[in-house]
Amino acid sequence: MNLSTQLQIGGKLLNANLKQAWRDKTNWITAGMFAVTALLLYSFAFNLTTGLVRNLLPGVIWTVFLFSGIFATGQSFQHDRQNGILDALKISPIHPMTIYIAKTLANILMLLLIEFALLLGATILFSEPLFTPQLLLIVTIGTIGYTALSTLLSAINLDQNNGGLLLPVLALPLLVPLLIASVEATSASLQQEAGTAPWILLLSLFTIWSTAIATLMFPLAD
Amino acid sequence: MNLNNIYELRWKVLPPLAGVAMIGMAALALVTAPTEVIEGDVQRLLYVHLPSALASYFAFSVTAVCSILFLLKRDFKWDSAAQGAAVVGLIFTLLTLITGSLWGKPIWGVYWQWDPRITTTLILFLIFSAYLIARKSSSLDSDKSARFCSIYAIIGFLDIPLIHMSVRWWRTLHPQPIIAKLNPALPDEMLLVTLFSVLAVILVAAWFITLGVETELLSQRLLKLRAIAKINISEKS
Amino acid sequence: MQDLAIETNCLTRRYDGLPALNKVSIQIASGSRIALLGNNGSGKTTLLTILSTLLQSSGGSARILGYDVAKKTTALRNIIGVIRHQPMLYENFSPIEDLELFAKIYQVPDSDERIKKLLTSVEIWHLRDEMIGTFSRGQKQRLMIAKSLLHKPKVLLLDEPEIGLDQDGLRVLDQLILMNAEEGSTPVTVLAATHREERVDTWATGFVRLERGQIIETTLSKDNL
Repeated sequence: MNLSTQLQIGGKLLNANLKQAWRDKTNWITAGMFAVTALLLYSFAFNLTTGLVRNLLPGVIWTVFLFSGIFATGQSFQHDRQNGILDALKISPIHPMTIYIAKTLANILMLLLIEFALLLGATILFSEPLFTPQLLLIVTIGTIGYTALSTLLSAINLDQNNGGLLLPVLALPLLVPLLIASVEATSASLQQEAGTAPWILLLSLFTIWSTAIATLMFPLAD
Repeated sequence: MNLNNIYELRWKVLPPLAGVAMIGMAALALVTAPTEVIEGDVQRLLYVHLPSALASYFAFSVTAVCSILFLLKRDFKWDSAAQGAAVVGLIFTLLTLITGSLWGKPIWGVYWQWDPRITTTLILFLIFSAYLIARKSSSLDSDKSARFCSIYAIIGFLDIPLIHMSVRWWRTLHPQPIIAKLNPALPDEMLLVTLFSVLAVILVAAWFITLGVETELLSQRLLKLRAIAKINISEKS
Repeated sequence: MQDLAIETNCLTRRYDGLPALNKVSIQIASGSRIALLGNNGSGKTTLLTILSTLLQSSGGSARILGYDVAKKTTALRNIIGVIRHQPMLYENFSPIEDLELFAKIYQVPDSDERIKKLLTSVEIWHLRDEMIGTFSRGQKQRLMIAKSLLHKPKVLLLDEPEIGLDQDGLRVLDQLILMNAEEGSTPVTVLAATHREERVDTWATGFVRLERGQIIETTLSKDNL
């Protein structure tokens, strides 16, 4: 099967994944609600009145994004596995890489939707300019980076019982470079530190690394 | 003489060699090596700390290479070898972290410092703990789990340079608490003792790795024997 | 060896060291319809799962129309049609949406007509725009029959295809799959695991009986055992 048909099929599959995610929103709504709750909880815990929360904001935002994002993407293949779709795709002539890319792209798009909404909410809550083009760029690059890895890790059926808990344990240590780079880039973007450039560079580097390695590894995981 | 024959010699060669090297290392580090002028005797921890760190890198490299071999050959002995080496790697990482903190307290005044090397070692510890938890939480001969964990080990290993680089950038781009910058270059005597210690600890690590691998291989065999016993019992009844 | 549709040689699969499939060697001629019999846990599903490229064998080899199953090539996947124990359907899609996606994946020509024809044959054309999640087990099974035939496979690997089907559904199943009644192209080879042994005589040309992962009785030639 050549590349252009593979791309066409990938497009159809992406479309199907998005349609499926949109119709069965429970997972994504739960992830969104988790993020909102966590954000509120952080702001209570750090006590808004001290004004200190401003310095903590980049860290708060990214830990919330990572936890809710990994939680949501960890379930993404679960559904397909439960209703047998993953098997149906695996026995079809479609390339495993296409299955992986279509699922990752769908996850990225859904997560960006949630994260942008959260940034908008946080702008109001913390009265910080969080909805700037630069910050949206940082969030987009970072989300691609961690979703590529967490989608790969969620693809394989480990022990059903602790699969949900295991995923963050597995994913988070790998994501340390991403966390450092995105938090630093975010605080630089909020003018708490100098220079976003090196951090965006590091973030892009990690994202390219994780996307490339996950795409290459997925067929082996099949 | 092929590789297998060399590997067969491990029981004859490694334990005595590692034993002698350890005794030699203890004598050299405790007696021969001069006492550091500023830090005092606590500096002797170097002869355990640095070799342990190198031994853990060595062990994790073995895990990564064996994981690649498992993915290529789908032979479970490579999966066993990867697990055995990971256990040894974790032991030495822990040893590195402990000796590092003990050394850091009198010198830096704190047990813990977010230094690039310490942070990388800690994350390394987390990654390979997660690897072992994931691998041990499912059946030994589950090829899904073995494949998944091999992939994870490879990704984790390839992540190390990135982790180190990012932590380094993060620390250098921030104002740091002033810590005493000591011994820029080791005197020749100390250097020799250090090199010998590295050799000794790597030998011990190599021996431990063969033990770890052997344990995993035996667990695999035990599983098969249990299964056969189970069949025999059910056929009799 | 073109006349052999399915050929396995000492095929073995172990779970936790226990063999679920123990050195199974079978040869199934092209166009034959073989029933796979045996109690629960006899290895029927394991055999079918390996043949449908979803499971790695622990030893031995298997070929379908000359293609090595372990290599999982696109060419092989284009010629097998599979029904597994569990339906393989998007729960929140309609039958039309589900089949259209898979028609695209298998690059079925004239897919709209093909889908309409199949859905009409399995008698669920009137449900074409309902959500699959609301279907009964039998309706899902009918849809699976249509889905497995979508790309005109040459070899069908079926795991208890009768699940959930009523008398009417069984007739549809017999007509479409077991009796090879679909018009056009060459006869299809069928390997179907089943517990409905009383029905086997009506459709099968032979059978294989498994017990504890081994063949204990078969109508197939034993030359290569």
